[in-house]
Amino acid sequence: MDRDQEFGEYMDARALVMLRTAYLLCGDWHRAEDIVQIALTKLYVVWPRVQRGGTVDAYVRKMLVRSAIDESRRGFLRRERAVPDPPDVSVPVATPDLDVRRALAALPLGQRTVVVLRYWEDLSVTEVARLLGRTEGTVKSQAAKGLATLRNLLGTPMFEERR
Amino acid sequence: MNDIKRVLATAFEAQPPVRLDRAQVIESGRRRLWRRRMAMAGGTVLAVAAIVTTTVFVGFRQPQQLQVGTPIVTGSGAQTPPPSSAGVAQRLTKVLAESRIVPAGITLQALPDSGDALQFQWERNRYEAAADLVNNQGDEGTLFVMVAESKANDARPTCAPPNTCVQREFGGRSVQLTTAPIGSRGEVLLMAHTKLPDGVQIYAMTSNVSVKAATQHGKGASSPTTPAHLLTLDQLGQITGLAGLKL
Repeated sequence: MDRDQEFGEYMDARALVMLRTAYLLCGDWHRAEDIVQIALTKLYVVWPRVQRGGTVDAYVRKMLVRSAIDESRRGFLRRERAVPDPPDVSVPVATPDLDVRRALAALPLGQRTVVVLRYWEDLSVTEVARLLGRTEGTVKSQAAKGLATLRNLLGTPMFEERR
Repeated sequence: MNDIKRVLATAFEAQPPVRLDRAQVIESGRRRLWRRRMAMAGGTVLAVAAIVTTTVFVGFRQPQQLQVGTPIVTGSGAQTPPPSSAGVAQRLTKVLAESRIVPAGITLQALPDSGDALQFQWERNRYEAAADLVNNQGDEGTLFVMVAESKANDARPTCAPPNTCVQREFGGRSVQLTTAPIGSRGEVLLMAHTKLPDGVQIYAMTSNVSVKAATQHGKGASSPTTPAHLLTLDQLGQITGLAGLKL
């Protein structure tokens, strides 16, 4: 199988998952698509190597995080943003997804990234620390603070720090 | 699924349809591969891995124009452009455009994802500009120009066979002119490279295969899109000799 076919099949299988992770990282579907497109394009370039090494998912995850951080630091968030409040008509008030979105948006970028990697991507503290270039202590601390903030904002008792 | 994950998943309830297009992503990937190849074409000791993992063209956005500074390394190890990069890129673009080295009969076509034709963009340790060239007969080729910071890897093309090299002077700069056949379908790269006393490198390259063709057909699958190169080694030398091309 050639590069295009293998890559295309991977993309078809994983695009939705990647998009959701990117969305949790950035909070906007259009930006999430941008981030995934960047990650996939980078992946295409190194496809033979990472596929041979069996590290495709890890590489993609790293690219998603880097792209999200880069975009954010380039003033991404200062550009036009999706309206956080629902319009007056046709959308029910305070749907659960909007609550989670708002709560995630309230987290500092570092905490948000750690929470997404740790609890959505199911990475261990060690894996998150390695991916972000931080210490395990920092990751634990940011995860705990992030969860505490989410717990407060969402008013849910289910957010307990996983050991 | 754990409780936290279940709550996070509620964020997707209003998810729009996925609009990522497989063919479009693959074409972007091929363009990126092409740029990597151009940046290191014939080069001797370019750090391939560094280029592979850091080149960003798809979705590249113009950085903010502020004061001079050094590249910013993010917590994840990625780099964002130095604050001065937009101004430098603009200056380099102007120098190249005003030189009028590209003959009037040749039309410049911008590459997707890469800004305007021959518009310099910052990329880890270097500024790059590219365009497809089209003459009046519809023949197509490519021009790629790079101004690399002193800390960038050596981009001087090798002179080992089948490449051939000559050394000439342009604008007071000693320039290596290289002809390099690539693959078996007749693609030939013409390259000019010089290194300034401060370590900055200027590199110009033209190919007889357009980027459009290269990205449509994939790696090594494109035959020449012009019977003769649309720019000469001499013109590439003139580009590398432009006094304004410096950092």
